[in-house]
Amino acid sequence: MIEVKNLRKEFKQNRADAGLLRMLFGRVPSETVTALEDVTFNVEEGEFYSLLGRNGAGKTTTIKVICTLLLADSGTVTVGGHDVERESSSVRAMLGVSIRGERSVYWRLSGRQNLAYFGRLYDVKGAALRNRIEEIGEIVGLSERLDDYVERYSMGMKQRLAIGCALIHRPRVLLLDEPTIGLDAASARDFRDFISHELRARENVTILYTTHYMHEAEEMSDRIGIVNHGRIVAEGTPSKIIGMVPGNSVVTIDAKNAVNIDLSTLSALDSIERVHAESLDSGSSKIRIEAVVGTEVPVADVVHRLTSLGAEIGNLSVSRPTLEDAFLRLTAD
Amino acid sequence: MLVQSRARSWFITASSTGFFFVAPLVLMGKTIIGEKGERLGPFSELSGYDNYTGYLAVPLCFAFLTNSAYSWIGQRIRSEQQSGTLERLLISLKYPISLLLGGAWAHISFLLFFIVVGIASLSLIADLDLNIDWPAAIVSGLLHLYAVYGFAFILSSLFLWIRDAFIVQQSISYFVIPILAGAGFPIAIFPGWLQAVSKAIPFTWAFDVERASMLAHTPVSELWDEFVILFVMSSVMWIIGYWMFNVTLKRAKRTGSLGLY
Amino acid sequence: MSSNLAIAMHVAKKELRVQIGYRNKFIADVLSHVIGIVPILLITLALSGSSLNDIDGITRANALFVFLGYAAFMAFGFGTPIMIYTGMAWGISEELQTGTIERNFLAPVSRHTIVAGIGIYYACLYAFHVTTLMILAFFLFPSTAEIPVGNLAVAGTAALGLIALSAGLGLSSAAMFLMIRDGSLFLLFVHRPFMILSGAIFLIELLPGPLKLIALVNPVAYGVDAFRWAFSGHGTLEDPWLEVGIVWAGALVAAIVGVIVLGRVIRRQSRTGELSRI
Repeated sequence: MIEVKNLRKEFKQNRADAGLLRMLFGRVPSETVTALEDVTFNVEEGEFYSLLGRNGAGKTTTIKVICTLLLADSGTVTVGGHDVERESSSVRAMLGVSIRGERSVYWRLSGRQNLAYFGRLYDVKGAALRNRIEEIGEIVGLSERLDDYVERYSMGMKQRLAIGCALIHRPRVLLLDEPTIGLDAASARDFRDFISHELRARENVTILYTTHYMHEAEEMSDRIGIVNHGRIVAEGTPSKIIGMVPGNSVVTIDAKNAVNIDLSTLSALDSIERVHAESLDSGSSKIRIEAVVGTEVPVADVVHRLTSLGAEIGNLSVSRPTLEDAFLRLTAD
Repeated sequence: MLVQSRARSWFITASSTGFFFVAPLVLMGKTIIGEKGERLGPFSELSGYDNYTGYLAVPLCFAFLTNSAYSWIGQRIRSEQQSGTLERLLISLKYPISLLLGGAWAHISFLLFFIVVGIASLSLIADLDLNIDWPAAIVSGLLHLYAVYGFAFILSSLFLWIRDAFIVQQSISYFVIPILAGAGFPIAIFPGWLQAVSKAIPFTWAFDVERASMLAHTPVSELWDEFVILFVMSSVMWIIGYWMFNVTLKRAKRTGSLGLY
Repeated sequence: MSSNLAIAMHVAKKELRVQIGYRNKFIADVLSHVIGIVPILLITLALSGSSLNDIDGITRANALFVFLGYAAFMAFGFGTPIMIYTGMAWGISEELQTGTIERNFLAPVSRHTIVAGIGIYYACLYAFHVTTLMILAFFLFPSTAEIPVGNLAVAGTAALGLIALSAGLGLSSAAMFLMIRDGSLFLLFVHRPFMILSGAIFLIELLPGPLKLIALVNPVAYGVDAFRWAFSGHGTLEDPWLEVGIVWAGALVAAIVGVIVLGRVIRRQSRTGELSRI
């Protein structure tokens, strides 16, 4: 549905370190910043794809190129087979976009007036528009407040209205740029539920989502692309991304009578990368078993071998790296 | 000043405000009076001045440029609100009124320059024929600015009170200065009761002393009474401005509207 | 897809709703033209040697001259019958500041249409200003109510021409406000010279040499002169219908230039990404 190939974008930025007189009358010095170095990815129809990246990584720039607000220096982007530069009008008709969330709606109008205005810009009118406004009000949970001025909405409500405006014309593709920024934990949770259950279930749209909140991406995405310094440095399902970093799965066991056990019997098991033991003051041992990257520690086999060698198992814990661990590793400078 | 230095066009625009706003009125004067002053008599009799171009140009130039003080200071509050820095500033400032005073100092540093440029550029299209008593003109100008900032503080308090205050502020200043204070005409054209209202406004006195000192070479000694009246009236405006700012600030803190705009 | 006109009207309606949201500003916009004329008339009165209690025939004639020019085009202080192009510029500037301009530009309609829609709102406001000023003129200067139908046609086409010209200029001013962060420079070099050199409240022949030459190629001056001729019988430049033709020719040029400039600026903004930078 969305195909992005070798996207590159540079910006010229004025520097702020010139003197007062130079800023008033002179030529302000500038520098070139590369926002997108070489971005390539695609999003399938009906898929939920998240772009994860640090601030300034290039997520919003990518979204802006896709939604025709920004022209790339090189590379191609198509949405539903339409080129964003040559067929921008067709692309815009297919897209629902929420950029800058609550700042993209008119605060001096009511929620209903905003929906009507943007609906009309997408050629939705008459009874169809009226019905759709009611429907959207229900989907975004604003039915009761549609006739209030937006300035009286909470930030979360404004965000939801912005998404409602993006959905008003039943777009096939939805681009959401950091929609949960500034929301409290509960509102963010409601918002994610709304996206995952209400929106995807009822509207069946393809979603391209940008965020720097790992748990959001992990919870909602079919696939994730990690952007760093204007490049996609990793891509795949959340579990695949997590599997890309070493120390995949770790089991820690507190065991009694294990001091004299030959740990090589554990190392010999499949999938085990490393085994390490240390004696504790209590006389028991703490055994740490790390799996080979991309695999899991065979916990049952480990326990079986240890008990068969006379060890008494106390506490056992299994830990896996999180998406955050993977992200930090993949985006480390 | 740092913020404004990034808006280069503002500096150029403000430098030319005097010319662009006042020139049409000076040319209107020429149209009515006649190119060679052939219909000057009635105006001269009414105003006491033969020099109608200077009569219009000097006070109007002051009026339009000092008008920028009202929008400048008020807009500073509004833009601090919009950028979200007003609350932060008020936490940092020992005396909140410093917010207005700081804005005024930044503005005044440009204003005198703009007034000089305005009057000089107007002389390109009309013979202003100034006859200046410099000490009196300087005192008049400074007292006028003193009055302007007092009035500006009063009007700026509106920004903490009304959300679209800019237009209210502009309407009030527009109604008071060019209309009630007679920036471009002698208040003798008003009926008696309106003349009394006009005399209660410090700007009426400011325009009078500016005309006298810059067109008729009237020395300080002859304008002493007017200067005292202008000073006292302006001081009252400063006191009202200070009081209003604190009242509206307290109100905004009580209602939680400090960050709203 | 709906016609661009329908979309532009829809944008205009939205602009009206948003402006009503700024209640005080809206009231001032609606009334500003009446407040704006007051000091000008008072100065006219003084220059003519009259007072409010004693207005003679010459003063009345001077006041009519100024009033008609003001009604046709003159902007003064914040009372602005030429607010179409400044309005379009500030409208865009405001949308940039509130962040809604990007959202509008995401819709599958011509971006010129969005800007033109804002212009329609201000054109209606301008038409309202001219109409109310002329109603006021009928009371202040009864002779203006007794003009022949042919003169009315000249006044109407001249005013419409000025509206079209302003809207064309509005496209360029909106483009400048999109391009330059503080677009007041554009207003300074385009808006104010137009205002000054329109001869709205003075005779163009009184301008110094070079300025007079510029004024004589300013189509606004001809629109104002035709409008004034229609209601007072006194014109100073050309045949009134020729003047109307000049205004409309100017409007056409302004529209073509405006469309090209706005298109180029939007494309440039799309390259630089400055659309969302305030």
